[in-house]
Amino acid sequence: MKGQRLPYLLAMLCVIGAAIMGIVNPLIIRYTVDTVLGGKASAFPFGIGELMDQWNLAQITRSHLWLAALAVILVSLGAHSLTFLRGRLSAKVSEQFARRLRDGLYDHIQRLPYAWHSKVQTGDIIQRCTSDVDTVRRFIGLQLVQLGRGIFIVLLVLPVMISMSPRMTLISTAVVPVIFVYAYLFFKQVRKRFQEADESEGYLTTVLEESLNGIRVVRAFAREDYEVKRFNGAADDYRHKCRKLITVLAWYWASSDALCLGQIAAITVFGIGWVIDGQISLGTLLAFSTYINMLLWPIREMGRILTDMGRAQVSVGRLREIMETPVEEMDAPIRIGKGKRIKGEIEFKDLGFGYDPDHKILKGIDLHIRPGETIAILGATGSGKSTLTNLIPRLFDGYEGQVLIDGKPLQSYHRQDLRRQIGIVLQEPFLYSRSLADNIGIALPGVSRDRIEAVADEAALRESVLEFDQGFDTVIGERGITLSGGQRQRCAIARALIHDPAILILDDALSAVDSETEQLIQRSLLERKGRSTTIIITHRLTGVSLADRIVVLEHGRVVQTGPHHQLINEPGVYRRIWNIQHKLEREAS
Amino acid sequence: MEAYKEQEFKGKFDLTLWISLIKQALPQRKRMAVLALVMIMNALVDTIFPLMTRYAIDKMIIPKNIAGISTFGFMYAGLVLFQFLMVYLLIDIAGRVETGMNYDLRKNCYKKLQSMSFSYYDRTPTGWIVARLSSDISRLGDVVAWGIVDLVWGVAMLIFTMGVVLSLSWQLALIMLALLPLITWIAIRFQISMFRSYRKVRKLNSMITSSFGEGIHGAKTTKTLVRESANLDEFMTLNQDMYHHSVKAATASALFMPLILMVSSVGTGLILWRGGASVLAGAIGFGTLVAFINYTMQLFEPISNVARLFAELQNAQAAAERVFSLLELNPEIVDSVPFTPDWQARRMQGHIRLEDMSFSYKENKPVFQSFDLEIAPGESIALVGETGTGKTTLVNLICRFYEPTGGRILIDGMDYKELPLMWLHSQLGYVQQVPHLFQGSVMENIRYGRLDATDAEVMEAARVVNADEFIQNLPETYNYKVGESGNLLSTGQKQLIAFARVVLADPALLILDEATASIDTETEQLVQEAINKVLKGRTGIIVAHRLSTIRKVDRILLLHRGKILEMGNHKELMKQGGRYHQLYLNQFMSEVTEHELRKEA
Repeated sequence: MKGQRLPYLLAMLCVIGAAIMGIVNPLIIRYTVDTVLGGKASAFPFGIGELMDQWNLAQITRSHLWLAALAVILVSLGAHSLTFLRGRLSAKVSEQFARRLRDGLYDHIQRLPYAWHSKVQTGDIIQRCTSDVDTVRRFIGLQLVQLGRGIFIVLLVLPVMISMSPRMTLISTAVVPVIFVYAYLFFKQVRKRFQEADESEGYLTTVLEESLNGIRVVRAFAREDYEVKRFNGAADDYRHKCRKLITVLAWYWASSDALCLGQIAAITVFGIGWVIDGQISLGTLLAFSTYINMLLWPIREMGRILTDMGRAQVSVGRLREIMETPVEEMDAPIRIGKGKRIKGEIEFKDLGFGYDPDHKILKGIDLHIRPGETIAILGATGSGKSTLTNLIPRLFDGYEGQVLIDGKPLQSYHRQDLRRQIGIVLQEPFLYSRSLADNIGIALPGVSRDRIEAVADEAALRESVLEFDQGFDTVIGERGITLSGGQRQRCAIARALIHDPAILILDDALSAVDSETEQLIQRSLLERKGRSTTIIITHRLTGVSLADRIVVLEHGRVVQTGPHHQLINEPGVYRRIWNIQHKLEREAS
Repeated sequence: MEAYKEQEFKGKFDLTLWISLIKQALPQRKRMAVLALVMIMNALVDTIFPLMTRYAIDKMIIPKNIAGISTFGFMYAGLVLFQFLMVYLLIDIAGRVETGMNYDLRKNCYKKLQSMSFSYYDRTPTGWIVARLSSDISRLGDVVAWGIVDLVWGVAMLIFTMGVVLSLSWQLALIMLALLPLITWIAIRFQISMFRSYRKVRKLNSMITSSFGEGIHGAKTTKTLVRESANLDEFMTLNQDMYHHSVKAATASALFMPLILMVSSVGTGLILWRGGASVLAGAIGFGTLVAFINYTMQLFEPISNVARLFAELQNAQAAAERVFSLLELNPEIVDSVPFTPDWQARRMQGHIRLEDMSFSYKENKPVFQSFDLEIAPGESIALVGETGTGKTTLVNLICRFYEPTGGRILIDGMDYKELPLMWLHSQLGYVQQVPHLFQGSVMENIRYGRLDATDAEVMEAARVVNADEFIQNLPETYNYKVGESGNLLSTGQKQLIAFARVVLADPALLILDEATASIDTETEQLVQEAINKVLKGRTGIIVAHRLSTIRKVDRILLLHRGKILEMGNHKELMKQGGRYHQLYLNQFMSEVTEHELRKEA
């Protein structure tokens, strides 16, 4: 709320101002009816009435009735201008608040450690960043202001009413507390039904999505009729829940309207009697019937707002939870300047690591990778290959033993500087929803189109790109076309190569690429061999031929290391695999 | 997919579209008529209240006549009760119209969807269809039901008010009439511009949502590419835009009510001035003056309601266009032969023959040309080849999810276009890579294969494919809820359930799309055994990814760019040393590697 206090205070002042002016107008009409037209003495407190009578205001107004009209218009102008100002100010404050909150959340979430990202549910976090922010925004911009307005109106109108006629005040405010409690209790109760309807709608959507996604199964088993019945059932349930909700709402709105109208009826009937008795003036009766409208409807709203306030509190809690999670530590003694390139030497010494401390994924790993060396890592699913490579760009902390980059401890490197030296390609790469060229060049803002096309060639992507109507400017992802798995992988390879990383990690990055394309990519990787320290995680022995050395991982331990020619002469899994393959090849020829 | 972007509504009022919409609303016509009547009554009572005040002032207060007070009180109470009834009825009936219309539209759309062929689903994103059936239809029901409420009440209110004020004092009524165009102009202008601004805000909001989504889904990539600050800059620009438009929209709506009330106040002032003079001159009574002030103050409401309705109609028309574009679709595959009981009793032999068949998704880009293939009854065939060579398309053609653009496909010797589509599908079993399960219990999911199967039959089927064991270990065994799309089960478990489904359905033709993803070792073994069992006694076509499967089939077809390059069993093809051999080394060796590595571990 920094810097927003003053405008918010102003907005509240506008609320008070508008409420006061709203109270004045009925008084003018009362004066006009009673004193100007009716010829009674004016009944204003604090001597204002006497003063007005002294100046003979009634007589003047009587002969110049437009003065009364002008007064009504001027006061209205003031009230409505203030109402507008209030609306604009509170919108500005709350929107500004929401904007800062969203910026803050986005920034914070980006800086949270990857361990957090791998644990949370994406849908839940997105919902917090959107609907919870909106709940808080509405609370500040609308509900709190309305609440304030309701309170001020009660505080201002009641004394004026009492000063005019205490008995009449008693009659006219009888329903006010009732309607407030009624609205509050009702909306508290009905929330369950809203939830039921929401859930039913959610189920309907799920049924629909499922049957659309599973259309093959539906067709192949000729279950169209069954699906139609299922969908109609869900749609009917939703209709039913909505109708039940609407019936309850109809009861509420009708009964609370009737309560309010009953209140007005009471004022009118009692008022008529008292006017005839001469206990109050006609103008007073008219003023009361205006005031009661100012009281009843906002107070009915207040009951509803109060039930909503709990929600705002819950939202604040959910947002706070994100904002209070500590971000990645960014301080580090070793900075790598722009344009500098590390050598890319990696050394693991007795490394141990687990995402959860009781369950170690990597155990006692000793491995020295020389600058420019190409290493292939083989291992079954779950043997810790990806975990090992995740440690190099400092995506996870908290390992045991040592990791050295160019001979210096990994933790002493500034995370972002280090990451700029590393290119990682994942099996299922994430691409941004923008053009292909932007995706490839995303790590190097302002990179030339020539360079983008060059790395696209290295990744054997050019041919696919030329098939798209807009070539490199084709937008991909959510807002554009969908790429195949192989195309995505190649795009990610190009993206990793663009800044010529000192360390290149390919995590099963060619699994969806067909064999001919794979050969093309291998050829370009061979050409740049020695340029980067390269770690290839693979299942295919074809990928292994590039490697200077092969590392076999098993249950988080290194069981074999060495160049191909050494490993095939050494008993172990590598030789076995090789032999099977060799035998098959021989069989074939 | 360009065409499926949310289009902005720009066109003029489209009468034929609204006529179609009214036709859809016909089943609700009685309710809508009652609703209109209720709204007229409601407006009538709203017009009577100020007259009550006038009566009280002119006939009771001024003459100091208290005699009629109890009658007056009862009448007033009666009106309040009547209004209570009207408000209740209006909300309840409008709700019925709204939900009823939504339900009918959804039902019709869904029925249409079930008749659409696969090409439609390939072209149309699921999200697009879901949006039509949820938010667009909701919008239509809303605008029709509450549109009647606003329109009838607004118009009736204006007519009644004008009638009353003209009969009370035409001079004062002229002042009100003079205000009318001004209020109308403001109301229409603001309602439309507010509507547009809020639509813009909603659009920006959904962009912010997907921006958050990208930020969170892409966290790893963002970190490794060190994109944080660039991402934040882009987000802040978007957020700034959101702020700007939100404030603009909020300012417009903050201005609207004060402005319109201001105009009403000017009217009140003028009435007070001219009316006051008439009261002094004795031309009208006090009560009449007060009634005029009341009428002036509530004049804006009907106008503003109708104006809002017109603003909403703009958006509703865009929704209607999209919903009707769906309702008016024509299925590309028409089932011309009725599925008579004769057909229902007939079992397919499973003899399949493709004759000189060609097919293309897009013109000039043929997937298959002059393609010939014969599959004998009971034969099992494996289709292998790299992605994009037409394996899945071939399967889709044989299942008649698509129809060939040239040539014929014969089933048991007859062109399948002359057979009932439902018969073909009733003889078909299909197991997907990642089998699709529906939210519900294991029992329900297996029973999908044959809806009238008893519990015992379901369990027997599960036993046959080795699924019983893992099901017995689930928390509620066969009643275990598998979650959305079956996500509480592993891929291997889903496959076993899909096989049980097939056993229950006992199809003559089985299509099996093997999983590429690795399945845990124990389940893998069970899946392999299950495949052998379900292939027995029927024609099987397998899009194969696993060595163990390929070794067992009768024939392997190697597809490459829509052609059969190599054909034979595993040994024969390996001997050829051609493309199959190469593919084998590439694709299946990773399976061998994984297998060996696991064995070691």
